[in-house]
Amino acid sequence: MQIRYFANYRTITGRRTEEVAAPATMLALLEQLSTRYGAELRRWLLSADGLAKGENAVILLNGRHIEHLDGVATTLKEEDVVSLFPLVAGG
Amino acid sequence: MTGQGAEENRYIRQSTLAQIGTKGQRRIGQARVAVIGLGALGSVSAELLARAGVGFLRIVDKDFISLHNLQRTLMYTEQDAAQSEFKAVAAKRHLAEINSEVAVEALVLDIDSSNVEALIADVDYVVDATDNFKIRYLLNEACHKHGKTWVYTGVLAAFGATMVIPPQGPCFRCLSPTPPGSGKNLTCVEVGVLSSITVTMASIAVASVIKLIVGGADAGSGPGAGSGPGADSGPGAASTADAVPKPGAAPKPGAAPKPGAAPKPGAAPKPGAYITLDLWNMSYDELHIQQNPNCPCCVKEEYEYL
Ligand SMILES: [Zn+2]
Repeated sequence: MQIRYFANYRTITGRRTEEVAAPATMLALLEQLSTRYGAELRRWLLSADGLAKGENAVILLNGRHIEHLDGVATTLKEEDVVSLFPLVAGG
Repeated sequence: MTGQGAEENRYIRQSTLAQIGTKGQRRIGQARVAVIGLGALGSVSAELLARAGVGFLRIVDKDFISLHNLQRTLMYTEQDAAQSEFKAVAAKRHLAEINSEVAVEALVLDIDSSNVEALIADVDYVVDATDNFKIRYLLNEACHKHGKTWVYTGVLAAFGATMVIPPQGPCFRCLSPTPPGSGKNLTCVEVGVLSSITVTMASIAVASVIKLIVGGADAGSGPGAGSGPGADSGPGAASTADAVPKPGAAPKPGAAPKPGAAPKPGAAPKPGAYITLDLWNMSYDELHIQQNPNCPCCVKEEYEYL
């Protein structure tokens, strides 16, 4: 599957996109990416207890926000595209 | 300075644009736009819209000008900061000096559910230049309820994002179902902001509004208008892969351009197009946000924040 990073996630990961083997669920993917890229990415992607998405993370599965699907329990397929970015408030 | 000749002269570089033309310029002159928030994004947006000759501008902000605003705001001066003038009051004065033909209504106002609808109900388009999510979720619902297209814009550090949100969606709740918490590292207060990104994102937002204003089929006059690749159907036409509006959630009168009045090919901001820029790493991306078929706002018309 493809992961697309935007905004500061690109700075943290040093990547725009990457291909990974699809884990079973979105939560497993977020855990896997947080482990690979470290505490800063984890802080954005996951809640403090690691059981929910980070409150400011926008996580799209094929353009759909995962809260409109099954949240972090959403299952993944090899042909999926996941887009990750923070929602920015400043003005 | 109100005669036709003077007007033509003043906006000649704009109306010469093939995409705008004299008809487009006339539409700009008749347009009513609200700019919500008058910080970095809002000061730039309001100034560009006034210089473009928008007929009516409502500008809203509750804060006064501080010295640390001047790094990234346009219009305001050291004297404004020294006098701690309200942003709305100073902006109205500066806008009158910039273009006296524009009717400017300045409001020093703390926006909440009791007053947000009145701010947007009698304008054509709404520019979000706020610095918080609370007001954006209010604007999202108020604009949907009143059939208005609004333009979300947000910035942080050296990156920013913008999205045109028409009444048929996808809306801000399709992008983010619930407001993020006050969270960490989320505000310009904490991580700072590059002035160039605010000017850039506000410029894109204003370009979106101008495109929407002049977007009718008969606007524009020059050879560039109406030609070019990538024709798409614009926000009024309902069935791109990225946005499939529910039949019941059709735009209300006076909202986005009607399907019969298709904007110039490639001109109209696409529903669901989320534009993100990083000026430090020089990257531009456009994502396509899908409408939530069960969205409480743009599908079910259940307004939880109003
Ligand atoms: Zn929606």
